Amino acid sequence: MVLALRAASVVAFLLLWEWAARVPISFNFPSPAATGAALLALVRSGAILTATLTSLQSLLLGFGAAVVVGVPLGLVMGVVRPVGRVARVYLDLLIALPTAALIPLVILSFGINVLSSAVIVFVFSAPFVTMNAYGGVRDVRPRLVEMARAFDASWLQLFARIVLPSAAPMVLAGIRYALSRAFVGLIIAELLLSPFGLGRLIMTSRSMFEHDRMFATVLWTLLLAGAALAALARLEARLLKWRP
Amino acid sequence: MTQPRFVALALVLVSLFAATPRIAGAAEELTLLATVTRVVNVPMIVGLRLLEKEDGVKVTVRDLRTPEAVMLAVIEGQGQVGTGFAPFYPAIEKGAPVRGVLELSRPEFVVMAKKEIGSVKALHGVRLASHSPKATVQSLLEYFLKTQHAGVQPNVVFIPEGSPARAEALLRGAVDAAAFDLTAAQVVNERAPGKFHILVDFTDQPVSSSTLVVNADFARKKPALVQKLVRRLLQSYREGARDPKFWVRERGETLKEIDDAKLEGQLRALVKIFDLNGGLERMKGPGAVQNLSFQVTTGNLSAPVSKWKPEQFFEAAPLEAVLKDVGRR
Repeated sequence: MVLALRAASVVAFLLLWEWAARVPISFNFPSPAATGAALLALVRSGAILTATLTSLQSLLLGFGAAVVVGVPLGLVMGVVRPVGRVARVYLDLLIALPTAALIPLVILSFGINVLSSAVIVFVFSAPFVTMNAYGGVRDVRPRLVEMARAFDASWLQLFARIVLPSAAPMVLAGIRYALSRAFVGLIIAELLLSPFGLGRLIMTSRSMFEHDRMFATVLWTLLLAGAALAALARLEARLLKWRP
Repeated sequence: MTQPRFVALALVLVSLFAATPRIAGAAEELTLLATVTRVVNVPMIVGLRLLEKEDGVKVTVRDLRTPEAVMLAVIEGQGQVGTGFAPFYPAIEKGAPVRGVLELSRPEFVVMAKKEIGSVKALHGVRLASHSPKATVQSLLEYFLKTQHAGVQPNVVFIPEGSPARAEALLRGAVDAAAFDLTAAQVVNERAPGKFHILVDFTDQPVSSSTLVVNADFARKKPALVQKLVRRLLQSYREGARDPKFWVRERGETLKEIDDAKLEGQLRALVKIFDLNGGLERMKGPGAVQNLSFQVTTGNLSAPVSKWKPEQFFEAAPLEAVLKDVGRR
C-alpha cells in the first residue's frame, strides 16, 4: 500500500512537471525527459561528479563541525542550567539570523575557498543540532533522574545511563534536520559566495539559459540530499533500536 | 434631489468627463528591469526621466538580482524593457523573443592589480577576482587573455557580489588582482593610493557590454514608444558627454547618497563608454560581426560565428530613425 502510494505520488509529480514543460510555465522550462537526458550527459562527462566532490568537501567540513561542536554544546546547555539560559538567547538569534546577508563578510574573514562555504554550512546547520540536543536533555523524565539518584548513581552514571539515552532520539532528529539545512546552506554559499562545485554548475547553466542542465544539477543535489538523509535515518533506527 | 435633476446632473458630469482633453502620452507606461543600480546606469536613468518629463510616459524601474533574471522577466513580459548583459546572447540562441535596440555601454571594466604585478604575464597563477563564470567581465577577461596573451592563466576566483565586494577583497589582500568597474577602481585608488594600478583597461574594447533589450511583442505593438525611449536615452548620453554635471543634476533620487562632486568625477571617467551614436556600429555590419565573434569566443554563443546574423540579436530600425533625425556624431 505504502509502495503504491509512493509510486503514485512520483507519477503525479512527473505528470505535473511534464504539463508545466508543455505549457510552458516559463521560458525554456525543461521537461522531465530533457532534465533526465541532461543529467545523464553531466554524469557521463564527469562534470557533475567532480562538482559533487568539491561540494562534499565543504559539506563534510561544515556539517561535521556542526555535529562535533553542536551536540556537546547542546548537552552542556541542558545539563548546566545557567549555561543553557545564557546560550539559548544566542542560539535563538543565530536561528533567526539572515545568514545569506553575511556572506560577503565571510569571504573577507575566511578567504575565497572551501573553508568559507564550510563556515556557511556550519552556520546554517549548527544551531539546529545544538537546539535539539539541548531540548533532548531538557525533556529527560525527572522521575528517571530521581530514581537514578535514589540508587546513588554518580554524575557520570546519571549522564551516561539516563540523560544521554533519553536525549538521543532528539539529538539524532536534530542531526537529520541539520543535514537538510546543511545542503541548503551549501548551495546558497556556492551561489552567493564564490561559485564552487554544484553551485557553480547551477550558476553557469543558469547564465547560459541551459535550464535542463540547471534542473538536472538541482535534481542531483536533491537525490544526494535524499540519499544522505535516508542513510542517516537508517543509522538513527539502528542506534535507537533499544527503544520499544 | 428630484429624479430629472439627478439625471441632468449625471449627464453633465459624464459629458464633462468625456470632454476633458487627454494628454496623449499619459496613458503610456513602461517598466524597465535592471540589475542593481550602479553609477554606470545613471545616464540611462536620466534618459528615462527625460522620457517621463518630455513625453509623458510613466516609467517604472525595477531592480533584479542577476542579469539572467532580468532577461527571463523581459522574455515573460513582466517588464517591456531591460538591461541586457552577457545572458542576452544565449537567451537569443535558445529562442527568446527579445531584441537589442540600443547599446547602453561599452565595457566599463578594468583589471586592477597590486603594484608588484607589473605586467599581464605576471598575472599567471595569481589569485584574480572576477564576477561569475559567464559574466561580461569574465567573458572580457577570457577573450583578452585568449586573443592577446595566450598561456597566461590567472587563478580566477569568483565573487558574484558586485564590483564593491571585489574591490574590498583586493584592498584586504584576499586576492592579488581583481576585475571590476572603473568606479570601483577609483575607490581603490582613493582608499589605498599608490598600492594598486590598472593593469588592463577593457573600456576601449570594440564590443558591447550592455544593451537595451526589448520584448519583441512589445516592440511590434509599440514601435513609436521604443523610438521615443531610444531618442531620450541618446539625448541623455549626448548631453552628459558634453557636461557630466547634466547627469548629476538630472538624476533625481537615483544614487542620491553619493556626493555630487564625487559622482561627477566617477561619471567623467565613464563618459568614453557611452557611444553617442547608440552603438549602431556594433549592431550592424562588420562591427556587429566582431561583437558576435566576441560572444562566440567566450562561449556565450555556440560556434561558428558565421551562423549568426546581427539582425537575430539587434533591431536597429528605431536607432537609425532617431539618428536620421538628430544626426550622427
